[in-house]
Amino acid sequence: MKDSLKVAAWEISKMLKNKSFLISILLAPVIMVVFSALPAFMARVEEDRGLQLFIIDELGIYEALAPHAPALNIVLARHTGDLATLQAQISGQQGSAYLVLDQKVLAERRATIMLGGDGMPTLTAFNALLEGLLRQVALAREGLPAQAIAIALTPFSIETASLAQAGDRMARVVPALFGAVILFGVYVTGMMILQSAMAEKKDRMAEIILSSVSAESLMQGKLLGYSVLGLLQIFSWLVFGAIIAQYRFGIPVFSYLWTPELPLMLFYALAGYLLYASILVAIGSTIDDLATTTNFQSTIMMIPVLPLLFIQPVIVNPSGIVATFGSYFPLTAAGVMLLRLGISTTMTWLDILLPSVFLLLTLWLVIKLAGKIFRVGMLMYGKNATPSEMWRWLSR
Amino acid sequence: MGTALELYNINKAFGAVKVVDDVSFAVQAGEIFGLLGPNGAGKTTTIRCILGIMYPDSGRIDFSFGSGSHVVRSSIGYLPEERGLYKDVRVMDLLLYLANLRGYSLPKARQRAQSYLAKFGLEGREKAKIEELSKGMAQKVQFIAAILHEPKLLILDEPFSGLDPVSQNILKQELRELTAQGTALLLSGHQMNVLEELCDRIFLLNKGRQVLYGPIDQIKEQYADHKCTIYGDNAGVAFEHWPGIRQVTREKMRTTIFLAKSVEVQQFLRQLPPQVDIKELSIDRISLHDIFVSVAQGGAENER
Repeated sequence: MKDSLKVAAWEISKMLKNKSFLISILLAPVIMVVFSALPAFMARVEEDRGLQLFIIDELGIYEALAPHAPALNIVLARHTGDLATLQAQISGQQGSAYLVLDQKVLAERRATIMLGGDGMPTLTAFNALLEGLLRQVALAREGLPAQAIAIALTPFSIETASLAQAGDRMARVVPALFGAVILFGVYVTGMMILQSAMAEKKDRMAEIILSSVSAESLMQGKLLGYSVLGLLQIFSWLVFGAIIAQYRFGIPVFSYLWTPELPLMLFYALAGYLLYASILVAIGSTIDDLATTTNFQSTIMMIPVLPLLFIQPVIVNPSGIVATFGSYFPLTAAGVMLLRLGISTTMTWLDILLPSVFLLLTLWLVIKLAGKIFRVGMLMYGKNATPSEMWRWLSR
Repeated sequence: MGTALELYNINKAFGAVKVVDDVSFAVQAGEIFGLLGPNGAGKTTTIRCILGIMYPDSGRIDFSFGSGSHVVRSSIGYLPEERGLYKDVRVMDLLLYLANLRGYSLPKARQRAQSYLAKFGLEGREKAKIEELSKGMAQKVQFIAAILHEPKLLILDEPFSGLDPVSQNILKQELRELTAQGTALLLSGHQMNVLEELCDRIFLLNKGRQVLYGPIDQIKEQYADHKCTIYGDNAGVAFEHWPGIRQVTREKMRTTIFLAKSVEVQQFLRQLPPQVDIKELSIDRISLHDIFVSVAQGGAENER
């Protein structure tokens, strides 16, 4: 254990001095925010320039549309001349369009906003407004009184609620999102540990290290070191996310996370990390060159993304057959249980206890088998190990 | 000074291939012991078994500085043939990490590292990253890492390859000093002239089995043959057909005649016919290199 701690301390200090790791901790959330907000921001810059919309109105809608147009960044203009002149006027003009509202629109129940240029402005809000007004005109022509038309056009809001999930909705959403962040962190950390095992071989350090500590200590040290780095990464993302959620949306993330389920979530996160990391560190030790990995090795590297397949069915029914299967299947148990703990309120202690026992037993077995592969794989130079070679090492 | 390491009937197979076959030898404290053999002879596997990186299928390995067969990694220094170091790490950080892994006091390790870096001409390079060093410099750092923790048994695999002659001499001197202080040194490699110069005893492996084992002088006595090297135009002289000639090799103007053990050197010289063109002539005892080549080609495969 002492040797494992030394290896872990070395891995942590090495990574903390590594610029790309620091960038991934500090800049990754910033980059994510920038990349999610930037396209919308840039589109808005374009849309801020506004749309000049000429309307040939035979239905008497113009007056109802005009007051709303400025808010939608549209400059409305009524056109009374002929269509051909208008078409010639706006043709090739970016940010200009025309709309013909005539009897044909009512008959075909279709209106077309014809753009002068090739840009496609976002007109969702304007379209919704126009559709409401057209319905109003259509209903009035059928002789309905104004009050009946207003009632008919007032939309109903259909929601789904659950007796089991009464109370604050955010109390369920925030822990579930936290689970997703943990899973993402587990995946990133798993990939880091895979690269670390490969680097040990690439730098030809494996033999020197293994002459100083046992293969088991080296592997455990790496698992431990990277778990600390992973937690550091997740914690920094969480703090960043919590600050934005608090100041931008007024959501108190930490108070939503401070629930009885939190220790369980952390347990599943840690167990899931150790399971994936053991598999990945063993596979990393069998890879000499990432560019020539076998199909088998590439497939194994995809294991941490398996829980993604279960997200949809678990949300549909957190206690259903798929969710139950995913909870007992060791390679998806951590992810599925994180999600179930986040969204389900009907889980019993047995639902929590049995999958954790299964997961711990599998973890014990996987660490043992990974150690066998790691011990031999680290000393293999010049080629990637084949599945049959790995099987032989396991059966020794 | 006593036995530092002893191997008893070590066997190791990978699948159906027996890589180490009933190997036994002992390394004394304070001696330089050569573990030789052609490529694929089983040297690295034997070393890995000693280091506890691999387990032998059968046999026993005892250390005088541990409790019997338990590998005391902190008392062993190792320089593998596969050279390498973390590229993006500073020299001193790496040396201290490896010393720490072997349970050595860090202040002492830092002090010794400074002194060895100075000795090997790397003074002021403590903060340099490994990737900034030349190949030879990195190799010196690797050697320092192997001896920094004052090991009782030092295992060096091809320590001289890649070093310039000046650095080779410094290394040889250092190895002699270490053994004088009682360190048991196991050298493995192919540079026969260097090994012949340094080793007290050797163990020659071929196809996993012992071929020769003992003090170098005794082995050379056992192969007491001589060879005569003549420089001159002797393409037309059929030395091969002379009595008592074991083998003849020719390289341009140089002809090497390997004499059988029964041949007296003086008698051979007296019998040289006048048509032999002699510009230079030398008589040597057969070298470790010749013995190695002979073994590698199967000449002494069954000798023990």
